[in-house]
Amino acid sequence: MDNTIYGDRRYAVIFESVAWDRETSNADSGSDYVELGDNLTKRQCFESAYGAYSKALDLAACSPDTIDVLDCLYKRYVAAMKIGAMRFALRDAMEMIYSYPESPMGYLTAGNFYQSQQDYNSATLIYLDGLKVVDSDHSMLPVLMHSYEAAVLWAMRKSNFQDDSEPTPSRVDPVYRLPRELVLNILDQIPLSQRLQLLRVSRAWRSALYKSLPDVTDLNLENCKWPITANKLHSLLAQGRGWITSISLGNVAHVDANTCAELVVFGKTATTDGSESKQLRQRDLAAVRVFKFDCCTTVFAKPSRFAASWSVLPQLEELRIRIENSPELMQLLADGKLPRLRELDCYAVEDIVRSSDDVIYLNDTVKYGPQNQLKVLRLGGPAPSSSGFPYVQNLRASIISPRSLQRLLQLLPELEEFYCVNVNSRRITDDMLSRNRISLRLNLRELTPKLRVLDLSSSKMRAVPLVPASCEVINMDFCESLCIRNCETFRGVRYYDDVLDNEGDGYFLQEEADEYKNLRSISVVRSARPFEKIFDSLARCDGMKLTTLNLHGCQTIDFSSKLPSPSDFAKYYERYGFEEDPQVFDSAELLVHMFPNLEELRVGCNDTVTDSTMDAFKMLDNLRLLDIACTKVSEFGLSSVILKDFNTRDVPKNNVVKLEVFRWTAQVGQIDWFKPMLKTVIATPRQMSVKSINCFAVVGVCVNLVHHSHHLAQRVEESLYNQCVSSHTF
Amino acid sequence: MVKLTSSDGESFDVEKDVAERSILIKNMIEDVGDDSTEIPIPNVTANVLKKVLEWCEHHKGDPAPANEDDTDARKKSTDIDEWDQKFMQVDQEMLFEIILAANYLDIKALLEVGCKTVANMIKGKTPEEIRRTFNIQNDFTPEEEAQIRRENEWAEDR
Repeated sequence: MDNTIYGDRRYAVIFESVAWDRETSNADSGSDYVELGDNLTKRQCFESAYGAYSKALDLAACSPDTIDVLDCLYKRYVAAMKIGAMRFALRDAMEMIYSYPESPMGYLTAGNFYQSQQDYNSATLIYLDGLKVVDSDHSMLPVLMHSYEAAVLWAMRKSNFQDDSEPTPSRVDPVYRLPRELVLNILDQIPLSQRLQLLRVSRAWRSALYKSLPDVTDLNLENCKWPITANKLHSLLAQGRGWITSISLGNVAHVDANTCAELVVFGKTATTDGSESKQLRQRDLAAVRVFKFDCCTTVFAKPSRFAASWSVLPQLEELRIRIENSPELMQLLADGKLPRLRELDCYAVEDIVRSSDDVIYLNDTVKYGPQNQLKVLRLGGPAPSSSGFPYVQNLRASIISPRSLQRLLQLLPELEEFYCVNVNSRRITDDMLSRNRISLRLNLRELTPKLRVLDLSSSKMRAVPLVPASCEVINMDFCESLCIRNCETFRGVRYYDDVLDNEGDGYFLQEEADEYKNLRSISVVRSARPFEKIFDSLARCDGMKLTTLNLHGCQTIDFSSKLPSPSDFAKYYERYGFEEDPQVFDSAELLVHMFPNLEELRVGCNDTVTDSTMDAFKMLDNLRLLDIACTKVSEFGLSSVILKDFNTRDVPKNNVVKLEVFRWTAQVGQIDWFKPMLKTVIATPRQMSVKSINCFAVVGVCVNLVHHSHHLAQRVEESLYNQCVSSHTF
Repeated sequence: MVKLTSSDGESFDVEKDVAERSILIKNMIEDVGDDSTEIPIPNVTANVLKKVLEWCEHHKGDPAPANEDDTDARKKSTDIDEWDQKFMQVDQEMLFEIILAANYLDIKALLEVGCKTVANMIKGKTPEEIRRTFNIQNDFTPEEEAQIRRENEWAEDR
């Protein structure tokens, strides 16, 4: 401000020389000079106007009542601002305050002056002084209030994103110029990938961009294209600001697998061969509840390595990890280091238990306490897909000895869901057998009495486990349960237990009548058991509760032939607890009679299912899904199920005729009222014509066409099976 | 008519419904309760205020902004209407002044247009181009910059 060359005198001089003669010759009172000043201001002659106002104020010093001094001071202030005479403008503003301390105008003017100089702190103080002094009912008070609030905001903003060490920032840098919320608003419109690139523009930009990045709560890198290294993971976790609750890692660089796991589980990495140790702060991982790690790691094999810091993740509730062998898994659970773990998913577990070691581990169990917190345990492969066919054959089966399994479950008395998919639990050595000949059937009724879901699909068990009555879902698709030695020769053959089962009695649901009363879904896929054993087993659950039944590929059930002999009728209704003679003549009718509430029924891959079988199935009032792929059911047979409520006047009961009438009616669009319960049918293209499928679609029945034939696959397996059986003597 | 005074003392006579595009002015008029009072607009200089009022004049008939979801959807799209695009073709200094004024005066729609304009200036540019556009000094050491680049290279090659 020192370089301001203007002065009071100079304006007076200019004013006198330019305007005095022509326009002020008859001005002799203060008010005249004010008027003159206003005129000059309008004509943008601010220098002269300044002079005029000065003169007016000089005159007013002698006779103060002639003009409004406050107003005149303000006008002179404006003129001074216009010509850039900051020191004089400030002097006027201050004079307004000193002369008229009870008027808000002075505070407003001075505050605005400081704001225009970007000195928001001084402006705030001035406004605050004003607010203290001015009457609470003054009309300008709200304006003063607004100004004060604005100044406070600006004072705060000015300190945002600014480092003292920074060199003079650019006037056109949005991050510097704009308030923080506007910067974040702008950055929000930039794609995330570009925002990450822009981190290196400048420090201020980096700080703003970090604030604009969304809070990551779910760090899911399962489908990441780039291999994850420990360095990258460290920087991601360190940037997570403690919000991360879930970490899922898929594509981890092989060499870094252990380091990455260490980083998450222990919060730091070990220094190996010269590489620097990385550390995370405790709060970076404080929120992590879920950790999913798909790579093989030995991180839990050497807990002693980080014994002191092992409690970094005690809050973990869900863990998925590949653990090489089951003693390690046992260790992990038994150490009690994860007291809140609810769900444990360890696929590809390998059991290293060998003969004599087994006994030692078994005895060790005594010193481990039960882990009551664990409710869900997944071993082996991934959960089966909803289609009901777990295609996990490509994965190598996990091998867990029956005894390890038993010991594991002993630790988990509160287990509610047990998924044991693609696990080979038959392998026992001669040595073990000779030592101890106790039954190797898993007794889940005692081990895990609260079990609700049991999934043993694609697994090989010594014998079918005893299941507690609380169990609602049991899935044994492709489950083998053979008690034979040298079972390696049976790879690739998927069968239920059969006559070779030494310990089971051939029924897949066991004796006690009330044991399965909560079962809602039964899946028996490709069982080779005799028809009677299947039906007798099914009869052991509550027929009224069962809603889903999968009998895919159970070829021993002959749906087309009559029941064995008339004398057997009595046997059936006694055995299945029917009150009176159910009047059933074939297996399909028996099935419908036993399970009248079925909603999903799969009877695919069975040559004996024909159009006449459908006459029985149409009695199922709640049926929503029907799988008849690779059977002999044609569109006519299906139409009898779909069209069971379809009234057609004077049409004979012949399905072919009915279908034709239906097609015709469907085409002319007359059947809006008709809404069958059945919604989904699974069939092969050979069974259905496109025309019929379209007509069914009109009334809302969707026919899903499948092309693969499990039927054919089974033939191949069957021959393989026969080869294996004939080449071994038991 | 409402009388507005810029920070440098210039007065503007504006129609009330034009001025009331600004929520701040609207509130002030309500608070003061007297239309004839001169309303000072500190922080906003005359040339900026003129520009802002020009925008308010053009948009005075715009319907009031709809509910929150709608503004959210509008925020996501980056297209700006043609008149606004032309209006925003000013030097960067002025652009930021307008945004600041819109923010201070609480004119949501103008603020949005301004922010979109800046976002469009940033979009698709490399860090070097950004520095050139906004005249920003790179205050990282070469080592630091290399480190940031390394950490985020997976975002670079899309």
